[in-house]
Amino acid sequence: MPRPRRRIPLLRLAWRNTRRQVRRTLLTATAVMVAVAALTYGPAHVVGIMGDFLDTYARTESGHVQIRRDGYTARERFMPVYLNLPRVDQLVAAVRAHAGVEEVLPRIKAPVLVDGAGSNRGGLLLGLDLERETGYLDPAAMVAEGRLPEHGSAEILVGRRFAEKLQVSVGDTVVLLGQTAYRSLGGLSVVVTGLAASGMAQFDNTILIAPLDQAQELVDLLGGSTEILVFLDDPEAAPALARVLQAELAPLVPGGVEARSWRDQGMLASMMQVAEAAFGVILFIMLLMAALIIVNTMLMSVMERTQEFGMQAALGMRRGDIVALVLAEGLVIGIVGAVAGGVLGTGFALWLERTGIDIGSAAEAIDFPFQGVMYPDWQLRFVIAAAALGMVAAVIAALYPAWRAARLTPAEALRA
Amino acid sequence: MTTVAARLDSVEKIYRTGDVEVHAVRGVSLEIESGAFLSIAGPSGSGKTTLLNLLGALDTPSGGTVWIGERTTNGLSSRTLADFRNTHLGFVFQTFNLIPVLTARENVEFPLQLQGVADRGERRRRVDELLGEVGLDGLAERRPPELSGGQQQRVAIARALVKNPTLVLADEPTANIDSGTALEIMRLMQQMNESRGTTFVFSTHDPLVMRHATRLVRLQDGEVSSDERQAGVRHDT
Amino acid sequence: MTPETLPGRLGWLATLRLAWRNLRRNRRRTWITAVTVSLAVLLLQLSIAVTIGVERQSYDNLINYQTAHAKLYAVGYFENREELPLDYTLTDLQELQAAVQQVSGVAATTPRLVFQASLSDGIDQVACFGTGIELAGSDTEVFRIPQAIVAGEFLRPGEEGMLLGSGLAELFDAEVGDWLTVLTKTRDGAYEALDLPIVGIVGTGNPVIDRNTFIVSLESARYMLDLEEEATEVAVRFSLGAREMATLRALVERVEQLGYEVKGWREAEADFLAFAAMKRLGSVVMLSIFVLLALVGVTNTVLMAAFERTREVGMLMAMGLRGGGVRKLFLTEGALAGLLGGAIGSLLGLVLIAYLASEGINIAALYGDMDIGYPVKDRMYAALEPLTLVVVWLATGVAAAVASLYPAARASRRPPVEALRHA
Repeated sequence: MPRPRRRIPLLRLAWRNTRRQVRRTLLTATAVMVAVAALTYGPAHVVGIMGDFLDTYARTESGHVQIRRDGYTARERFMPVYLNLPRVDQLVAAVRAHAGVEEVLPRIKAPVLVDGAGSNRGGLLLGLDLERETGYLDPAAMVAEGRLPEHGSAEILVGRRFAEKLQVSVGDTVVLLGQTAYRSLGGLSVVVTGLAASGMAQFDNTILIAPLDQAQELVDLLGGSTEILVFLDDPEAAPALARVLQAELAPLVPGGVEARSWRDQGMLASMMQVAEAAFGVILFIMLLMAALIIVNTMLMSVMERTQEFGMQAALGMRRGDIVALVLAEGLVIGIVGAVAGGVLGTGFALWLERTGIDIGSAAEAIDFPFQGVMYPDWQLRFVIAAAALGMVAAVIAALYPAWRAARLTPAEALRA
Repeated sequence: MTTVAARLDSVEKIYRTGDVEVHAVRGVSLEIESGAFLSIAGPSGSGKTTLLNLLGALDTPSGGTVWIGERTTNGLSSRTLADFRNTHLGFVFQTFNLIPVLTARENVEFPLQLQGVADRGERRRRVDELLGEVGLDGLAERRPPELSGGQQQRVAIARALVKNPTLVLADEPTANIDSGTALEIMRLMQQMNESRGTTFVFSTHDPLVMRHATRLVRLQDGEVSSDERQAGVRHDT
Repeated sequence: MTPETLPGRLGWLATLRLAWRNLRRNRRRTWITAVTVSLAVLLLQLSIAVTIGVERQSYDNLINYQTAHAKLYAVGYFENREELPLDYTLTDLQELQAAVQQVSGVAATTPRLVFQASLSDGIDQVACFGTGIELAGSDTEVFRIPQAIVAGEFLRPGEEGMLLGSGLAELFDAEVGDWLTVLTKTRDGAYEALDLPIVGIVGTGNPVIDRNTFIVSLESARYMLDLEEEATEVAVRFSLGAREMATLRALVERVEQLGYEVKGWREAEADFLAFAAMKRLGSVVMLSIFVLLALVGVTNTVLMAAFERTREVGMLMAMGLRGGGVRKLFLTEGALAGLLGGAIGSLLGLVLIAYLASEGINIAALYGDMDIGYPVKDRMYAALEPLTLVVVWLATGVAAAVASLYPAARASRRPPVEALRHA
């Protein structure tokens, strides 16, 4: 004859038990709450800032895949115009043929000397496909005064602070001098149509934005560019596509090409790695501390209730049931703490998403295109993961007290 | 001429727990002469413990006045009450209530430290003398868990007496020990009462214990139902 | 023996003894609490030591290779310093240096000529900073460039040649003995070019120097820029043990009389100090979460202890211990638990810090080529400061006592009658 199914109201018992000492339960749950809140906010912070770095970096520097003439990257600081990609339309068309490609943007980067009103100084010329760059480098959004240059016209947009140093303003004509693709000296007289303010110091101090065709003329590179940036629907697909493009485009360019995904662009990868490792350590220690606090509370609670366990054993609760009961109590503490922590961490993250974290002049010391205000990026999965970890830690912490409770025999327990 | 150790004048005590009001002591007047060996008897709920708490300055009355020695406890702050207890009163509780982490000697010494007796030698001398009187020679370095129930209660008595209080209050001092040991404890309290002249007030519902008192006050529903003087059973050694 | 003359109060020694024994009564709980606290303290000690270490290293680096303790400029230079203008030069160098030398706390001074230039190897060209230094005189008394020579040697007086930043050397794939062309523009706007051999390579860990700077003799610099006996700055080193701020104030006073400007390195590197402060703030936020967890642990423990001993507290109060005494007892208990955990964390911290102070953290292994924001070369070293360790440890005790305030207050507020009734 099958034994009837045992029905022990474990969760109800656990819930009532944890409510017997409300203050103690709440305080213990506070430990879980602090940990879960920190673990909710932490990834939002890291991902938010990293995401912002990555996004800015991708739009201004790296693209998702960056295609250059082979050998360019090693000499990047020189910005060697002589290492270029001729007949760029053909390459762009070839890249566009791939699935998942969102945009393909040829750019020319060249160091130039700007002869302005009496003084001359070095700057960075960016030749862009101005219409297509909207949403990427986004020159249109940078225009603080005047207007964008037009394709086919000898016009430029100048970084505002750069313009101040040059003492030029909208409507002035300046002469750009730069090395051509053939290492001779080229020059071009252009009209300043607008001033740019991006918020990134590095940019605003040095930048000159010209239509691609004007830059091609200055550096004597008709139909060519110094690099092509590829943007994808899914940035994670970049490394695979980079390999494919490398093989596919190399034969089209004398001297070969190098195609690098944003992930291969040194600094970011190592920054991510360090951040992830540090976060792992932090996560572990926080959960460990919360777990130790739970162990302490539950040990006390179990010891206090020795007689009660004896009585329950006498009533026919098995050891396994007592273990389950204590674990369920741990779970209750975990759930209370996790919910509170999730709410707290989310609230904090959302608040900072609205207000932002202004790091002020410290941004100037960071050698990076960076706006100076950081925003966390809260995602549901962070809360879920943090809450789950908090609850798991609570249940694991309850294991030892549960074992202690179950080890008592009914007689021993009743005698106490 | 007998002096008065404590006096209750029409003392009332009402406890409120939520909406429930408990009238624990109703108009009790009582004069306890110095050197008394007084037992308060009565069934549980009769107000014994409340009366003892009032006499012990652990609690203040809702009405009437409690005098201990020359002073009344009425209207004293909790801090003054604490200091008052420290100087004038000794307690023996039913469940021994020693400080479990201190040795017997340290437990007895504790009230002297609280009193601010700075001289360590002086404290030691008084403690050891008392430990000898209560028959705990050689057990001074033991901690409460290493002592029997009777021995623990002896420590408690020594601790109550060490500061020469006006009054020692014992709430069911023999409730948690076997009857043989209970007799020993009663005998010890009697001895102390006689040799030191200390006033003892103890509560009990055990007729065997009541018999030792020289005065027996019975309580019923918070009121004094009888107050008799009696010879008090003697155990001569 | 301590004097215990106040009635109703327990002396410190007696309180300590009681608290300590109570902690020992529930050893398991005490240890678990101590371990919780120790984790936070370990992280705290490590972070503090590494932060102090890397900041000190950074400051030394800046002072030794870039900023000195202070620099004197002609009025107007500092404001436009990003341009490296040649329009605000110092001319009466001898008198100026002599005057500054007299300021108490000043150890040495040296003139420098900093200018914009381009370097070219004939194929590629890159814009960078040139620095002309006084070889015969005092540059090495103010700066520590010779320490940073990683290949070749320091310039000899009168030698025509350059010291090249290691990053630039890498960029040009250049070695000692190779020649580079220096392109400069004079104050009048004329272009000058001069070929110079690389005599030594300088690696300081400071990106401003390594990636952007080459060093020549003051004479070569003046020749390239077509300047007379001029310099853009006079760098000042303070003597060892001189009080930095006091010396700077005295210097400012003296120099302003002469009609020049002087800027301390802290002002010149305000961006970096802001960056360091931001890093510190980030650490503080992160660490405060651990500290908070540890404090919750202590509060919890003391709360449980107070709950468990409710009757005992009632009895103590019956004997005449005042509420304040009860509070003190539990505060002490919490503080001792904190100090115990703090001791474990601090000792572990000491071991790790001692290791990191002697071996250092390999920056390249951790971050690769990345500029971590601190001008530090190869390895960052933790600062092993016994005093800091002890102060943090003691602070743990104070914090733990603070964490015990709530449960201690609760325990002390309970009327003795009620406490004695407690089951």
